[in-house]
Amino acid sequence: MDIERELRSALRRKSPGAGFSNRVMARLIVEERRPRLSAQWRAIAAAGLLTVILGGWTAHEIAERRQGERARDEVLLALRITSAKLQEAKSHVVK
Amino acid sequence: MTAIVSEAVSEPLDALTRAKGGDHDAFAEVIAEHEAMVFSVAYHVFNDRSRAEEIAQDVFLQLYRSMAGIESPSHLVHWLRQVTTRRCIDQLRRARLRPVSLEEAAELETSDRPLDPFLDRKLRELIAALPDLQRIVVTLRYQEDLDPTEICRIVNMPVNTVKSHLHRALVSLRKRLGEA
Repeated sequence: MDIERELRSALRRKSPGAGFSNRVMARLIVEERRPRLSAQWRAIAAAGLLTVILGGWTAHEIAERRQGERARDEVLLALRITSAKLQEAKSHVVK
Repeated sequence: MTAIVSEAVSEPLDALTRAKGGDHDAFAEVIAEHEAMVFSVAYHVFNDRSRAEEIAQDVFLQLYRSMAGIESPSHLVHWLRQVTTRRCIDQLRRARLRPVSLEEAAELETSDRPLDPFLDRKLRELIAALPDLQRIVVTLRYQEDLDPTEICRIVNMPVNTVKSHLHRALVSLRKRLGEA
């Protein structure tokens, strides 16, 4: 048996069936109609997205820091008031 | 005095040249010319009609986007064989896919009938059971009638590795056919 000849026969080309090129062309037309961002626009969009994320993160950090400062100021004010009241009470006791 | 008027004989542009210019009808002609080759490489690797169709469609869509780089009809054929084979190898590596058994695979139409349908079927079963790279090399050797130096350029392997895969595949096929 000539195995090489048999292999050529077993592996002969097969047809993908009728309408294959039409199916490819249909996909091609759909892909062409789909709006595509160019590489430049993709880079700009990515940079924009990064800016929004970094901006949001920075704004959040600033807001948190200000809230912390406000809380610290309130504590200090409370301590000052308490201290003043204590001083006042002490002076009354001493008298 | 005789004026010699040279007649400009305008050769019709071939489908490849027209397709490179964005002509869809010409691109459809290019597909029709090469669809059996592209589809069959994928089909013989996976034994799966729908997967072969999907790979073949993807290859032609990639071709459409790469048309500017295609220099000649022979370059086109090499490009199609290479891209199809590499897509098959990628899919095999990614999903560790095994070819579908012939019982599951639908018989496909071919232009000619095999001399011995039983032997033909047995051989295709044995080819489907070969290791991936052996099956790919055998497909390129006997479907596309390529020699090992051409195959090594497509699969990006040293020529001796290709020869070794081919040799092992033939030894294995002969042995199993003898057992059958």
